[in-house]
Amino acid sequence: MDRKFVLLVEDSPDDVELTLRALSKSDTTAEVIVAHDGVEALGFLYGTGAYAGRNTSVMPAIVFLDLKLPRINGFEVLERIRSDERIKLLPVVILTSSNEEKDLIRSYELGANSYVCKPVDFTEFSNAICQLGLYWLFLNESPMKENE
Amino acid sequence: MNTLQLITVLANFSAFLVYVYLIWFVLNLNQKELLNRLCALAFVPFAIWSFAFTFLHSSTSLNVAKLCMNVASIGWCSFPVFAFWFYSAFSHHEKLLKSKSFIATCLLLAAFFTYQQWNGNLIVDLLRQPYGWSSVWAISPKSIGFSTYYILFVVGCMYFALDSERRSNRVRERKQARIFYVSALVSLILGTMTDVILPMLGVGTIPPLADVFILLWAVGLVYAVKRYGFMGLTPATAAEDILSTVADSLMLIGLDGKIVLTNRKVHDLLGYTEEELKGKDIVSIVSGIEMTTVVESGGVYSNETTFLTKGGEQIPVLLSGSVVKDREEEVVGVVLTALDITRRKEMEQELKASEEKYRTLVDHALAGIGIHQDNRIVFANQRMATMLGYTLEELIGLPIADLIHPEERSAVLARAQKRQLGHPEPETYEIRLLKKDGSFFYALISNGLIEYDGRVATLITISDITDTKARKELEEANRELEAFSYSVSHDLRAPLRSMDGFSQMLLEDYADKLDDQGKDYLRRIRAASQRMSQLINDLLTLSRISRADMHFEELNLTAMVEDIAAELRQSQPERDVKFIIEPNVRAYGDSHLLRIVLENLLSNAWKFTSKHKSAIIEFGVKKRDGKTVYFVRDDGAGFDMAYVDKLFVPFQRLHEQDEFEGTGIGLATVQRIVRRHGGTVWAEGEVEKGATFYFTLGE
Repeated sequence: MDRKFVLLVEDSPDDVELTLRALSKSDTTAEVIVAHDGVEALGFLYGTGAYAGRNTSVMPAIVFLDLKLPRINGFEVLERIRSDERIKLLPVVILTSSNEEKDLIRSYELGANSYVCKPVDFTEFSNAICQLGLYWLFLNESPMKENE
Repeated sequence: MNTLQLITVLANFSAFLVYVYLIWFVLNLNQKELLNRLCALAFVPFAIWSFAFTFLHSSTSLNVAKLCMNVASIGWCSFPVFAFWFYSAFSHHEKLLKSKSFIATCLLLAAFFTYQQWNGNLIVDLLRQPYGWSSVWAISPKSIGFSTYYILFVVGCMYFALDSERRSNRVRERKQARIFYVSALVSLILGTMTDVILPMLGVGTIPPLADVFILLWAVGLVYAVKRYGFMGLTPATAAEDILSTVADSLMLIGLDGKIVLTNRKVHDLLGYTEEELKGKDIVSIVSGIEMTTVVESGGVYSNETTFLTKGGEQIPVLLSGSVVKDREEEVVGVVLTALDITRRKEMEQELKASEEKYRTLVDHALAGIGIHQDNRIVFANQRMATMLGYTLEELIGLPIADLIHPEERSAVLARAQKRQLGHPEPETYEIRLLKKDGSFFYALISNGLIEYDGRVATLITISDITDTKARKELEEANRELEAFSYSVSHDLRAPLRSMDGFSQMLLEDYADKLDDQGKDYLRRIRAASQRMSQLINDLLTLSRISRADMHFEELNLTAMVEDIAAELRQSQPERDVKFIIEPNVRAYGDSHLLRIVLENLLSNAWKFTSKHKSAIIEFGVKKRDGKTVYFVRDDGAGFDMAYVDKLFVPFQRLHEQDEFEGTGIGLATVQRIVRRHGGTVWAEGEVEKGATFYFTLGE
């Protein structure tokens, strides 16, 4: 239970695979929970739907959130997280293909902790994910601990 | 002295008195006028003549009678000359009188015949008659000479009178000439009969009363002069003229308010005759007039009032009055002039109606209408105030700069100023206008120069086009384009990442199962997906540039170029490239976009000189056809001018990928930015000699 884990919200199986591969390369043995859309992500966080009965006192150390998602998109997920007293302090990193300035600005406006544009070059992508994993899982102190 | 003689004497004496009176009268009419003087002069011989004849006929002694006849001859010998002078002056032959020899000849002739008479060469004897004395004329060359002289001058007078009557185009002058002619003819025929012809025929029973008959002539002359005046402008004739010919209605009113005199215009206007008006109370014609007010106004009285015509109609008039004073400076009456202002009133009414029409038009127009002068709003309609979110009071006097979106402000103000100086500037264009609350809206503005308060100003009409169909369509298209770009940015990249990622995984995890060719294929897939990614990025940049908001400002291009050059040098410090950058090159444009232009051009130059051992890259500015042209020149690979058209086409490349890298989007981007600044871009080049890229920015 004490183990830190990642919530990866990503609809593309390819990207899930690539992300997992990159994380596995980073010497982190952290668990990764994958949600394939916004609804599933929120279900996990609230312990509803497929995750009904989940111990919601256990929260991920970091959420890697894609913006373009089926049903509820990334912005909405972020908005809900930030407006909910229980999880509003959850660290969220936007991990997206978009390098549109307005996406970046909106993400920060909604309270994202970081914004990373996924490089097409896999080598670069791997590096980025590795660094993110290392930083958010090991270096960063999550405020969520206090809730536990 | 018998009765007959007494009558003759009295007739002559009264004739003398009348002549003297006429001389005095004519001179009194107008002493300074040449014609009056000549008229008086013509009467003098008659006066002498009749004065002498008074004594002639009353004398009993032949010697006294002869002396009297000789004195009278001064008159009858000289009158033809003086009469002729008068007639020539009257008929505009004054030139004759200016000739000294003519005057001398005339006087000499008169003196000559007078002298002949004194020597007894004309009338040789006098015979006692019941009425006095009759003359006996010599039948001699001298007497015939006298007759000829006499007839010549008299005929001359008649000729001038007739000529003047025929030629003059002035009625008054023609009437005068007729009187001069007829009276002279009648009196001279009678006079010549009694004084010359009958005596010459030996009939002495009829008294010689030529001087009396000539009185007819004299009276005729004086009557003509008095009735019609001479050509010379005398105050009396002028006053009469003015009174009858002025366009204004003119009335002379006594202090009691009774009309004394009116001119024709008054009769035309009011429908009354002169007689009907005379003695009428002015109050019955001019409404609301008070004589005391007019008199007390002293000199100038002016008032708009109405005339009441005979038919009961009311006519608006502008009445002005001034007092008339007698010689003792006492007010004796009032002169009223009235100007018919019916037309003016109508015009005022029309103007008011027209003004009201336009005012209503401006007030209710769907467009905002206003005038600015010296960069401030001086007039605006309600609609304009509403559109801009101000009250009318706030808007008037507001600097126009406050109404223009900051990004367009300097350009629009510069344009407005140029227009007011007379430069041809676009009249209608789109503009973003700033509301009082700081928000802005798109408007179509139309500008026209007008004169306002005597100085040049600009009339503006504004319509809000935020909701116009075209704009909506454009916005719709922009939104679609944005959605498209967004989707490209998200969705096109993700598969590429998969291609690249899984190829890499294959290379890492299955390296032992792949031969070199297999690995090479995978590398090619990776390279292609990365290249595709670059293409997508460039495409997005290009599309973003077309949509980006522009912020115009003064820029130092030299600083930008130096900056970029430093970056390029840093990227490949080993290269030997010399930059020649013209100092202090300035431009007016969007700093972000112009930096992209310079980055593209300079990195192109950097790239296409990379195959040369050393290179020179130049940046500068020059004037061409009065326009500022910026340029970036290199001495690199250059290009074939045959393909110059393809340079700026997106994705079109003139070099092979493995020769020089690139997506072919850079110059298309440059062109789009330059066009958005209102400028053009073009290039010159030669293979292996380098290329020069020129661009202008809208002035």
